[in-house]
Amino acid sequence: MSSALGLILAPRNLFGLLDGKLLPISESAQAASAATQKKLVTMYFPNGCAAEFWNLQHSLGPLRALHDQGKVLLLQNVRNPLSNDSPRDPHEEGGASLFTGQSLVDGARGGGASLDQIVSPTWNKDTPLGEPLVCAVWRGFAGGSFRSTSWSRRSWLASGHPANPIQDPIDTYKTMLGLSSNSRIDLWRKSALDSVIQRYSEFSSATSKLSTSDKSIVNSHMESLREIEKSAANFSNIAQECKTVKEKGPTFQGIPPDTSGLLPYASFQRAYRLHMDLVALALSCGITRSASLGFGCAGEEFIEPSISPSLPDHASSHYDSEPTKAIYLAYRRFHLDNVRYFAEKLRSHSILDSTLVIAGSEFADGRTHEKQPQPHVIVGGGDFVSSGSVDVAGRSNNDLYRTLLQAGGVTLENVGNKKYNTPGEIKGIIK
Amino acid sequence: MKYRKLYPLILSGLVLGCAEKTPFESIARTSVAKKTTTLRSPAVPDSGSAPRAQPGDTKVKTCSAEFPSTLRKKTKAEIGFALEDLTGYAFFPVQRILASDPGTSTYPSSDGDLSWDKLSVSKQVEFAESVALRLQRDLKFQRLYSPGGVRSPKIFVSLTAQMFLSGQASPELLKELEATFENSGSTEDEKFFTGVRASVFRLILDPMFLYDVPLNNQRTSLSTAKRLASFIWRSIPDKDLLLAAASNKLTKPQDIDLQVERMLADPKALRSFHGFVRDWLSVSALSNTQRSAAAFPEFSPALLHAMERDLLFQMTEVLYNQDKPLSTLMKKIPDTVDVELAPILGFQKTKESGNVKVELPPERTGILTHPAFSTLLSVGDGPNAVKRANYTLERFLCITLPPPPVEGGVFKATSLPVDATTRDKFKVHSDNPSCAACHSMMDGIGLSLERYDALGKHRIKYASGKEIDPSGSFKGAGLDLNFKDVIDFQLKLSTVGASQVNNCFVTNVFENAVRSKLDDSLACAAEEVAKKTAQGGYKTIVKEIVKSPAFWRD
Repeated sequence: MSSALGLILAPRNLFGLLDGKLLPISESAQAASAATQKKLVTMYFPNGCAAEFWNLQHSLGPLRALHDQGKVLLLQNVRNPLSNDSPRDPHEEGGASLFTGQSLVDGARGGGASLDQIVSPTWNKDTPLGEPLVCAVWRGFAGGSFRSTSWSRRSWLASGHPANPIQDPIDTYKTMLGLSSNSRIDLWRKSALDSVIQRYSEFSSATSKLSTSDKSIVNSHMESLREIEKSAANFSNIAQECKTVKEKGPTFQGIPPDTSGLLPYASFQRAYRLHMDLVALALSCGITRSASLGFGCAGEEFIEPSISPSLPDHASSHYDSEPTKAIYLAYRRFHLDNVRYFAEKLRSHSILDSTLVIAGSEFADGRTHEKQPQPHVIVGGGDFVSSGSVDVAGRSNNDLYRTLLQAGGVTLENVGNKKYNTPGEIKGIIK
Repeated sequence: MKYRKLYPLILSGLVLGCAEKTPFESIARTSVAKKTTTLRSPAVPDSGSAPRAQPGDTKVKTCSAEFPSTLRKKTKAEIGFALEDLTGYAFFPVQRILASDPGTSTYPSSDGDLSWDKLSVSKQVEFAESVALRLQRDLKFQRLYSPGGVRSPKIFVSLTAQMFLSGQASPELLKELEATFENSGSTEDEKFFTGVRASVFRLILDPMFLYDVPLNNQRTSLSTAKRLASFIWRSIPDKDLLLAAASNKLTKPQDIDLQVERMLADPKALRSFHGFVRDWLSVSALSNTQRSAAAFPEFSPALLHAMERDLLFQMTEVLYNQDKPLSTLMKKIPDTVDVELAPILGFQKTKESGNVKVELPPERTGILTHPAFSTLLSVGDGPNAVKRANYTLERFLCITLPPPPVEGGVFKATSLPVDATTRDKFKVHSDNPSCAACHSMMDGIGLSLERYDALGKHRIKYASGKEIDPSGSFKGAGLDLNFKDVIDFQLKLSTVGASQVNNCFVTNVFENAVRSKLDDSLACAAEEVAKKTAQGGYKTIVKEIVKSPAFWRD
């Protein structure tokens, strides 16, 4: 039985370790491999960003340093052509099209697969998770509603089928190590399977008294178990590789539970950053090569006390005065600072250049619900996308997504709604 | 369960491991000289033109004790019952979790197919995981394997491993399982619970739990215990059987007889009998039945349950409790029936629940008139005479007819008037040579059951107003019978056809015992058993099968 077992069974212990105490894992072969494999992460922030703030002087200020280091591709004038396809709320329409390029379908659901899911079959086929790691924190519009539609989902498996995000960082961790899913095998299961396979092997050995036909039955059974066990072995290796400390560090005491019952943690920021830590770790360890991170739902009403003690994000987006407009801007900077945080985390794992982070929101100005331009910024991915700023001059988000996928080696005729795809890549993006 | 007796044996080193090689001298399979016997052939005509053996033909068969060695996968029922016996819980969703297991079918021995595909093994892993998870924190389960209430990983592992694997857990495995209790968490509770989960998961997947391993001419007391438990309980040995095996108390015939008596008196034997009846008669298919409310306003799932319940009751009462032969049920069924069947059987429903004693009308004489069969063997809202006849031949006379011919035998309904009766339709078959061979065996039986509608209610006329003629004839299995209705048919089966009916029942029990269709050698052995159990029911047959060397074949 692996010595890593104790850690696995006490996941909360790890959060302390994630909090600034990660040791570099670049020495490992797995990390070296992860550093070169292409990876993609979508990051959502709520309530849009007014065009006048979509620059490095305002909302994107937190990314300036990264921009100057050639790690950011700022996109201007991205058009969301889908936003008039349905009579639904602009939050919904924009949220559904973000990262999918598809319109809403019945029940206010996303109309097609999102980027993290599109690349998954190819990029994740040999990863233990085999699918994107989808994480989000939200309380909900007006304090809890719209929690099951395009208001809150940013990863879509297919039209009308959201990938439900993990909200509790502990569950993210468990998912990474396969503790929460029957389809994943943790270490004691792997050990048990090893033992069972050995038993079947004895049965079918040359010295066994079974007939030839019986041995073939046992062999067939054993091979099936081996295939199942193989995924366990992957997890086991990763658990070893991702065991980022040599001895146990301080125990994370946990974030106070949310008294409203709507969130696993009262602090959005704390929970979200833990998700970001874990997603970065998962990407660096090769557990998955695509992920979706979502901060809040469309119309999110969370309050960040350091910005305003009483005015929530969504309320500030309907600013009617300069002071509230300033709060709205502060919330934008807050969200883009989370993008910066994630980029830095990726860099600490030496995977920033191999990881394409696409951050965006549902529409432009929160006050008017103006849909154009739809905010998009690319961070990382320097191995295959350019940096700096590109004015896409009204090309659709479909064209943008198609171009980004092409940069990552995924060439598709159309992404999202076919009618909004126009021929040719968007210039200045592919490296 | 009390494991105090087993506990010292295990801990004192008398572990019933694989190395156990207790000779089984008295009843071990011996090189029995081949002998010849006359075996009644259930051969039936096929649809081709080549001459076939006719029903009732006889041929000389060799009753041999040379049997092939085969590995056998335990059935879903066995796994479920074993877990029930090991844990005290009967709710394991074996059927649901292993529903797509391709290694199972319905009749007669539902699990002969050993071909487990990858999905099936994967399902097994999932199943093991779900059971292990369920038991991880179950104190009731853990107390079963913690004598004196002392929570000890060593004792828990020893007891569970030996019980799950019927005494065949190796010392290495025990050490391995014990280790899971050491490295599984930071607190004692956490360690123990995870150790429980890991152990149960590991044990369920062990080949010794999932398979019956051939004896390979090395029959031991332990293998005797396992085989007895598999047959009589559809489960694994209990502690008494394991103790008997460990102390060489399963080597003499009289020792085995004592154990068989004990096992048959255990409720687990009745549970197994019910499982056998369900397999033999495909009773579970009843739950899939649908009827239109317009034609059958009394139809309901509860009614179907009542039919199944009552059929099991009738079978249990005569074949199990009274230990009488199957032919008895052809003559008369007990006059105690499920009260829910009142609207079908035509008696006044009272406020009583469960079984009530009633005077059944004459048309309810004999088990073939049971509404469960009439319902099971109907299609839509109408009875199906072909299905009813086929079923009767297959399940009660062990005659399996080939499928209808691809060409030439297609029934052309357009050639008949819309109010044509079943008899009119059968006439078309009988006039067609490619259909006639089988229909000459089927038609009379099917027609005799026509007076029971698709829910088993008695009727004398078709909807068209035409009177139903239930008379018919049957020629096959050495019988040549003419009868005025199904009551008369059953009466004749219970007299001149009793040996055929009872032999068929023995065949079914024997197939259940060895979990496979009977080859010539086994059929021969079954006939030997049938000869010795002509007046006995299920229990008598079980006891006799256990005495048969064929039962102990690999």
